[in-house]
Amino acid sequence: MLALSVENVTKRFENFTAVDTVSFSIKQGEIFGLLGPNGAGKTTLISMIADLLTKDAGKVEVFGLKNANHLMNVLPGFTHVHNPLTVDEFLKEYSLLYSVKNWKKQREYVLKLLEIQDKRDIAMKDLSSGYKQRVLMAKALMTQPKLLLMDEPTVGLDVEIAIKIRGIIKELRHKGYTILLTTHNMLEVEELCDRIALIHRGRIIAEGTVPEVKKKIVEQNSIQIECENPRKIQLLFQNESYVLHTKLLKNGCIIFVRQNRKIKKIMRRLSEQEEKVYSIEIMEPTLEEAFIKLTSRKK
Amino acid sequence: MRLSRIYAVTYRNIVNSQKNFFRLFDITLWPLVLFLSLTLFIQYIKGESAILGAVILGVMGWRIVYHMQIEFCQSYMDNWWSGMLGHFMISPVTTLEFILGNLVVAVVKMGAVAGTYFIFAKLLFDYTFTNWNLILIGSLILMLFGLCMGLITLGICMIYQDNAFAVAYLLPDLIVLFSGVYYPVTIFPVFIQKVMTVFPTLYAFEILKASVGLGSINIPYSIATVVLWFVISVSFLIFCKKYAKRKGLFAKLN
Repeated sequence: MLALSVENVTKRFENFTAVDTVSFSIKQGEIFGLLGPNGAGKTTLISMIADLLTKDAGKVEVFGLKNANHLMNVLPGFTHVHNPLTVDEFLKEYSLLYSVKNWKKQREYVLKLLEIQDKRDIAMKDLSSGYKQRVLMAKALMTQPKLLLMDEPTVGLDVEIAIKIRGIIKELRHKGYTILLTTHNMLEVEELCDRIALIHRGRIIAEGTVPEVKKKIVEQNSIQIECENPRKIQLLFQNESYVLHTKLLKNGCIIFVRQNRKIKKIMRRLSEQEEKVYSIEIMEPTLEEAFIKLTSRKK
Repeated sequence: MRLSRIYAVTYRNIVNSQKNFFRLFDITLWPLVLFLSLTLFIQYIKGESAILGAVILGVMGWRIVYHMQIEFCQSYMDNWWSGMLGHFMISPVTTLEFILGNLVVAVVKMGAVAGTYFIFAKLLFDYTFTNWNLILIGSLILMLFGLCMGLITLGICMIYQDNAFAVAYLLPDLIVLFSGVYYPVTIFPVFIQKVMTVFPTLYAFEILKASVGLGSINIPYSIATVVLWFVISVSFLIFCKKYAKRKGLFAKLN
């Protein structure tokens, strides 16, 4: 079943098109990453999905419903929360807003999950950014949303807390939550997401699993060869038609080829040589490289 | 519509009020200062008993409008100031539930202030109101008009946020000022008198004054103007909400 269906959604602010005919869908239980640089349109898109912002065109459905605020919750990043309510009071307010059954039990569960039991009587405004983020996550989880929208949930947090938050997101995946995660953190995406979409200047420019997106974008792979005579190995390959270019290193060389198709051939040629080869490493392109390549291509 | 969501709005408003001295003063200190300064002055100039009654009802009526209108934008701005507006707006709470939740608080505060005034009138001046029907009708009209003002100022706050909050205090006070609370409206220039005929406060304060034998009663105009303002305020709020949503003014999640 589709948890979220976004069809041709467009948003303009006067002459600026923030989101341009964006379409994608998320299956139930999936973590879907929406990846893009600042100003790409991620938050605008999330705001339209959350019904905080009116669309100029297009359709958004959450579990087949047009108005589904009761089915979703949101966790923003970089929280400037000055809420005078204590954590307990805040969670009570939102459990009432979402009509959560057994809210006290649910509150204890999320407080324990996020390790904030000892903060329950502290006003939210007096908490550190990391704890504020955890409390907002507690709010989001307490309402047991069928779709959780996370807008750069780890931005501005220190490494330890960001790892903690990512760990919780992984736990949520095992519990079957459907999550739309926006970020510009490539590592986060690679670590957490089942599928991703790259958004740039309001448009989706690639979509699929992380390896699929990388493959779509990056036409070259590199093979790093550690050997006794790097120069000789470089000369061996540099004039081959399938080699894009080579790079000499102190203790080896890198051969750049168009995708993985010729790797077997390279291995075969290396085995025919008398030169000592200590190691061969096929270097996969990173998502970051893919993203930079793609966005620069679209400029 | 869910009772739990109405209660959530009421709950937040009450908790916020408890944590804020200014809010507590709003139903204790300030109403009493206003009450005592005017009633003691009437005593000092040896004003008639009916004048004292009219002034007490005038102060009370003014506070009714104030409490009925301020809760909505104050509660909305609480969400804005605390950085929770996006979270609140994404929740399933409807505008009607938000209004009803705050209305409960407004009625409680207004009741507490009005009750205090009646008690102080009895204790300090041995003054007893007798014509309760007219007092209730006048108060009800002021409550409904306060609600209308609340919806309008809520709409303004949705668009202008912080910049508009002062309007929430100023606008109803100005209207009440020109409604002839402690004086006949005929003291104002003719054009102001004409403008004020479309405001229910003019008739409501007259009804309150009539309860102590000093004003006139015009029920049809009271009802007609309240209905007019209700239609205007609801339409205005709907327009403002749509505008704010189109411009992304709710979409500040952090």
